[in-house]
Amino acid sequence: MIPVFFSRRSRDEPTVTRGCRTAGGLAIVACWVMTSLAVAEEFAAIDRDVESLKQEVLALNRDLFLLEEELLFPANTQVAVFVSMDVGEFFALDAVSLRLNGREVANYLYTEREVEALLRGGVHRLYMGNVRSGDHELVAVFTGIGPHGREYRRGAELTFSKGIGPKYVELRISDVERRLQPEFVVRKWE
Amino acid sequence: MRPVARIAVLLLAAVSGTLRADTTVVQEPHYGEVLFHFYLGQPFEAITRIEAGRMAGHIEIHDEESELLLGGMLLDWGQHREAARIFATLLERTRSPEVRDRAWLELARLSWQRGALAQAQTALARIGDALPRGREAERQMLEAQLLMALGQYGQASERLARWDGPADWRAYAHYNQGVALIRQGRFDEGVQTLDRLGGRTGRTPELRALADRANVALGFSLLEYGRPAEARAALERVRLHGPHASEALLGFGWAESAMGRHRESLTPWLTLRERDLLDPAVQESLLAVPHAFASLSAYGQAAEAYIDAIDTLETELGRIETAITAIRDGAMVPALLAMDDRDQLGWHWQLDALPDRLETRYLAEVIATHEFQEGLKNARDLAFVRGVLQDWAGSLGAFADMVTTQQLAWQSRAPRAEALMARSDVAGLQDRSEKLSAALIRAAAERDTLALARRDELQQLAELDEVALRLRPLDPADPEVAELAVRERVLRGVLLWQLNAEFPARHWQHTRELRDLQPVLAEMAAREARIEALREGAEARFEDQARRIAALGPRVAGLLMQVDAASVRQRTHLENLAVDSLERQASRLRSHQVQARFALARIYDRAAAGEVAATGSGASP
Repeated sequence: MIPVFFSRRSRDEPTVTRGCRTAGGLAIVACWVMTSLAVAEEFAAIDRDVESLKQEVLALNRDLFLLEEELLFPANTQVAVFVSMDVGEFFALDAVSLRLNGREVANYLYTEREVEALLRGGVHRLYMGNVRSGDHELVAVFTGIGPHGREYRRGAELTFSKGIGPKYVELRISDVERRLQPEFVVRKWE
Repeated sequence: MRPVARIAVLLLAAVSGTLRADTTVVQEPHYGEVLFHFYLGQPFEAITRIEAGRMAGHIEIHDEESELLLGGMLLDWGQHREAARIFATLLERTRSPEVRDRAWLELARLSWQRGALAQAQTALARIGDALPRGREAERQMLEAQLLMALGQYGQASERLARWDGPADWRAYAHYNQGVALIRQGRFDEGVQTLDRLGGRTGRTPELRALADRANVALGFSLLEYGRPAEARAALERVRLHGPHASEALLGFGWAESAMGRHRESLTPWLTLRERDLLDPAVQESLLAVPHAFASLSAYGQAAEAYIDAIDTLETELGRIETAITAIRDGAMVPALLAMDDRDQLGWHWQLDALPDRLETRYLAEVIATHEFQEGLKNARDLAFVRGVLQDWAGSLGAFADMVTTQQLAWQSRAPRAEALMARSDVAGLQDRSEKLSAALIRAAAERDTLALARRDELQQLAELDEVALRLRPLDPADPEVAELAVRERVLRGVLLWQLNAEFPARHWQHTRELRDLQPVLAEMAAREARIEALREGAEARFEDQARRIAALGPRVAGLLMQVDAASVRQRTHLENLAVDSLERQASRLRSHQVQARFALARIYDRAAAGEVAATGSGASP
């Protein structure tokens, strides 16, 4: 005898939807839970409202973000320092410390996830600040694990001239295959 | 906290969760910064930086890539309309076949998410052959899913058989292929596919859960097709402590029962009966156990088990009623959102564990539905944007103070700047430089050696002129006068010869000095212009910033109100969904109760009719 509570598992009954569970049977990802029309309409209406609201929030957030940067770091004094990496075979980054005109302005310890993001092409804004126009000296010290698993510490320095516009400096860590060594390059952007 | 057995997020989650920035050489640090936040799972930060970077002109080289990334992130954040607009615009203006194909793929994904299957198919059909390899696998998977959603299982299984995607997805592809084959009536092939998958041990917990799932699906399918022995073998492979164990135990019992092995069917069912009653499989075991006793003619034990089931179900119904009241009181959504890390919005967030509270313990069923998860995501997003808006609301006052402070500082420096600018005459210096250049050119053309004479040489010439003038009225025959005249001519000759000899070197020297002066003068002029621009623009800039801050305040306040209103609507909707689900669960439990009462009555009727002894007789398990 097949009991009634088992026979309701009809083969034609929708079983699994996106992330829904059933008590067994076949599952197809693409099907959707059957809901009443009224409830679905209500959901759609709320969803539309939320979508439109989020769009407004994004626009507002962008405007506020720009205003904040403009106020905190006006273009005529703004300087930003970025860190980027390529393959990372010869150097596993732990931290970067940054001195600007002899004063330490950043000391950043990278998480595994952040290093992964750098290796995938992400660029980290290590420092953003204000300097007067004229010449400035920047010294970056990278620490991590270098070739042969040894602790590695290297510095890179740059003298740059700050004009009226914002100044961007990129500290780039790359592998030099022929020397089996990491290379630390400082690059200026306008 | 109890885990929610999430079943079959499967391929859809795999596909929808694959949004990524394709490998690229970053040529603009600001775009790299966007990618950094994107890879860290901070899409709100990434979206903000793309939009701000584009407005500020920091992202130009990566224009199309950033558009694709932005559209994809917005799509995953539920911003379908804006994402569609971005992709449509991109399709209109791009000349890159790869960008075009990627935009069509995103549009297909968008349509799929919105349930517009025909549009999704049309978009997929527009894709050419320029997709990167990973994206091509995504396209094929989406196509297979679409075909299954449209009921075209034959074509879907063909696509899946040919599918060549990342290794992690392959198991999901096989699962869906097995399902598709069974659905189109190719039962044996489907069984073989699921059997292969179910026989694997799986490297990761996810793959092991998928193998369990395949075994459960296989077992129940075989049961329905009247092949209980094979069903039993498949269900036996399911791990006892996995997320599908309860379903497997239930099915295992039915497989035994279908083979007439009622005593053996009791083992899994009695185990199952001890588990959490929230699970529908456990609820069914309450009736399966007495059913087995009855099948073994142990009517007394069957009657006791039915009575126990009725009491247990009654207690559970009472709890559900209490839970419904708690949900109606608004406790559910805050309890669910408290489980969340709200630092970032994380577009693929799904609640995968339930707080162990009365108002949430019955939500496993509803929480697994698309609608509830999407609603919960909305509630979470609204809570997130509320936090963002509140932060900004707090900052706006500080912004206004900053503008005032900067304005005061500027005003204190302005008189000094005014005086400096009044004294500065870069234009005059440039004019003099130009005149000197012209004089040098003329001197060279006319061989005007005197033009390059030094001040002392000119003085000497003047003195010689004076001597000549004074000698002129004197008697030239006077030997003293004659000697002086000779000395005057010799000295003049030496001086003129010297001027003539040094003329080329002097001309070159002056020309070079004037040339070197030009960049210095240009820099001075530029600096003067910049100071002038700053001076002229300072007040206007302060006014502009003050005006923007004044306008942003009401925008923040208005949006906060709208967010609060939307949050209430969303919460109410979620509560309605949850209550509906709980009422369905209650209805199912009541149905089980009715069945139990009916079965119990039948046993009593038989006992009354003398067919069986009501208690204590018959075989015992």
